[in-house]
Amino acid sequence: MTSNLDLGRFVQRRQFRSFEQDLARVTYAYGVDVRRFRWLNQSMTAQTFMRALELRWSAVAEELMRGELQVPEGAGTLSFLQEIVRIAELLRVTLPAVRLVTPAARDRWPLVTPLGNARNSDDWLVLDATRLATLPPPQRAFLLAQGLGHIQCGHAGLFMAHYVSHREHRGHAAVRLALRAFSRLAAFSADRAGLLAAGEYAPAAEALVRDSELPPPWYPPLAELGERQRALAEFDHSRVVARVRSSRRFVQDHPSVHELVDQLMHASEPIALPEADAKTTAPPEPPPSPIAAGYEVPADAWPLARCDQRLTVRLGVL
Amino acid sequence: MTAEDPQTSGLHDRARELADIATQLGLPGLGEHILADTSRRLDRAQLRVLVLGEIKQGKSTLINALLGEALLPSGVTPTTGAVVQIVHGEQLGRFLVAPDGARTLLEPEPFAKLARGKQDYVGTLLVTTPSEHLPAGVELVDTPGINDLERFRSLISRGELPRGDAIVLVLDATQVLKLTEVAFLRDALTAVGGTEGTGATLLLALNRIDLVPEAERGTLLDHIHRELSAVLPGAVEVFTTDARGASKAPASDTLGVREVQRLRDRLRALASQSPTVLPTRTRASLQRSVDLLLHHTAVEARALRLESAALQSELKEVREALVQRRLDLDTIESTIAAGRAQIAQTCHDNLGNFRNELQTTVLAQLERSDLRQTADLLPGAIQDALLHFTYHEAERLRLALEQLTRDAIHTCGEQAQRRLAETMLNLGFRGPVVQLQPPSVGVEAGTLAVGVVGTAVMYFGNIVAGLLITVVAPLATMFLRERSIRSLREAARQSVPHALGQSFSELEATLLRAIDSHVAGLREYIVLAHNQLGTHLQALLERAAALGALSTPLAVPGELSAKPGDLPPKSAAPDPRHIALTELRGLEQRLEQLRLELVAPASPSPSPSA
Repeated sequence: MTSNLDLGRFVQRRQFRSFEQDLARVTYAYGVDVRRFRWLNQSMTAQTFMRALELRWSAVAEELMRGELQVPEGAGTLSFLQEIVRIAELLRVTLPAVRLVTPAARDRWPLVTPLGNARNSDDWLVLDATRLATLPPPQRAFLLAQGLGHIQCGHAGLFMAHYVSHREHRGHAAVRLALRAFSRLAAFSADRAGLLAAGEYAPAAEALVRDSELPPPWYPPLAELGERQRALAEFDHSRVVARVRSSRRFVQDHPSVHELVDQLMHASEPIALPEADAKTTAPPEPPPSPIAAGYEVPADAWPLARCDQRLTVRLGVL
Repeated sequence: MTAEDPQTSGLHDRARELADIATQLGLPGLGEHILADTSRRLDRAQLRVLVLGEIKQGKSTLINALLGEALLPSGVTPTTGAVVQIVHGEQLGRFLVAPDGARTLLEPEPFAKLARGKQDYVGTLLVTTPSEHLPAGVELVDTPGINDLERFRSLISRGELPRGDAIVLVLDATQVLKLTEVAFLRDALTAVGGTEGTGATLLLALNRIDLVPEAERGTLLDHIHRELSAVLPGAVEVFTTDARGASKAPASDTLGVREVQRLRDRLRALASQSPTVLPTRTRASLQRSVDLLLHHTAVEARALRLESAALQSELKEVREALVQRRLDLDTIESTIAAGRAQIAQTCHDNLGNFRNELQTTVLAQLERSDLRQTADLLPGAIQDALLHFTYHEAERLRLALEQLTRDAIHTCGEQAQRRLAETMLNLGFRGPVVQLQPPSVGVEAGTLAVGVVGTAVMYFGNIVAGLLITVVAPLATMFLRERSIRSLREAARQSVPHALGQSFSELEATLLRAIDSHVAGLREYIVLAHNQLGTHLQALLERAAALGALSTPLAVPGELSAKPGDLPPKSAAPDPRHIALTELRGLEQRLEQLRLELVAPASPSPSPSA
């Protein structure tokens, strides 16, 4: 049978997308975290141990779908999915498979959980949609972006390793100990992704407190809440956040290209031609630039490197 | 129930708003129906009981038996050719009610002639009776047989269905539950929105029970309950009546006569419950009107996007179908059933073909030498390839479903596009999961161990051993690595067919759900609007065509520009179709909002102006 399907093209596209994701994550993620997880996910030594858990992951995934989790169905879940698409576009993340916690398993899962293997080929974002729906939109955006940030920064394997080892009773304490250094760092990059999506610090900090309350017993030991709050407050002063806020304000205050074209097409009064107007009226003033309109990035905003450096010193990582 | 009752006034407000939306859509008749039904239920507290059934099942005889007097013509030949309303009144009277409400008193003979459908008339036939057996709050409606196609379709029986509050389906005990009766019952339940939480009541009158031997009656009832369990979940109220016996000897103590009395008591009980039932029924009926109007907005939204020639062609088709009575439920349903089967089969074949193709390609890809690199990306690439195919298949499905809709009602709406867009969004997230199992830990650990041992010996052993290891270690590593790749390849060969099988069966189930959802929506639309479907479609398309005629014609290059380089003249007025589309979107949002408000009964309606 001759095949018209060019699978190689899709492999290449995946390769290109993974390169793009790498570029996107270094714009906000914590450098030490990115480097450590790259080693954990790609080195032969680390993979030898991680794959022992990965071998169980597909079986566990099938079991989970038999009662604890379900695929999003129906128009009721569309708003969530659309929100995730919006955040994924902001962070340039490949969309993961979304799974919803069933009512029977609600108390066993946090609001948002990233799971997957080290190669980012089977990522799941597990959502407790009912509880998420009760949160204010900025807090919900923070938590969803935090989950997507974990996936983009390659932390899905870390969560999977903790979950599988706990569920299967296979050396959970050893896994917890061995991956402690990774777990401690993993929260900061994801919190940053959350802040970018939430927009403002206050709701992000509230969501952070909510997120760190009563984690399930299998959850990796992330950094302490105080440390995460300080790191988030410092990132809030960074140029990355300022740029995202600035562009968001600009988009809010200015109509999109489609709206402008629409207005021009259906203007109630004829639009004057430049030749006719040149004799009688002055040429129209150019629209104010974003900087003049107050959408600039503050000069005293910190570079990402400075946020990274302060965090590294405080954590005593290097 | 008073006018000050906030629940009642809220329902009135919503009915007015719905009527207003219907008028804005160019369907003032529908708006009048909505207002009239709401007023009947809430202001006059009239419960409408439709008596339905096939020809010669004894519908009119049963009504006569229930009333205790022979008000309606009945006989051995089909006698009811028109819809007749029977209400409680101070004295016996037979009237022809004109559309403006004026009543003309009729003598029994001319009335019987009209009721038999022997003479055309405009308006409604009404009988008032002082019978103590008919409660004041109940309006009985006698209808022609559902299989008397000419009369039934040309009149309003099925168009009346959504307006009924209780249905008495009369069946013949000697030939009970034919396929047509089950199909009709399904339509009736669709029209009233089901019996659960809608206030609607379904009663089955198993007439002529006297002709069934006593020993067989239990089996007969079991058969009815079994057959209806697929259509109607929950218990069904069955009355084993003998209408003829009850008319001739109302005092006799036979089962059939006692059951007529029980049915009479049931109707009385329904009337006494009307203060609680009718608001619920009003809410359910308004919800069905919202559904119908939403279907209409989808049809008009698409029509507004059509080019003038295509729109005119569809309008012509609808007009012809209306004149030739091709827009009847049975023809449409058979078209839909055949189309659905064909679409589902094509979808199944396409998925099967692509699955084979994908499996062949994946297995070929596994034979490549750079497997270790591609293995990391291959599962994701398989997901992408399948989603790519799925989006193309969805587009094909959309066209097929729109064609099916056009075959059924000679035009179509945007529903197929919206349903598939929702399905695809969910599919995009779910993604087919094809696992490529990593090689076993033992092989990986062996590779690592040889490396570690080799390195240790090189550093701490003697020169000869070091040299030996230097040669052996890379060879051993190469051997183990090759073995590892072989193991990965073998594992993948075994896992890929199973994983693809699972993904494709899930995908097929999802696409079939989208097809079935569209078909169910289409059937619902047809059942809800049946009597007025043709006129509604015609009105919607004519409105779109009229707006199209007002739009600025598209500029043809070379004709409108006097000089090269001149801009085409810009219309000073905005495009009416664009404005209509924007208004339509607003109406659609308002309808969605109304639907939510009607689901939550407690909240009073905001004022329409708000």
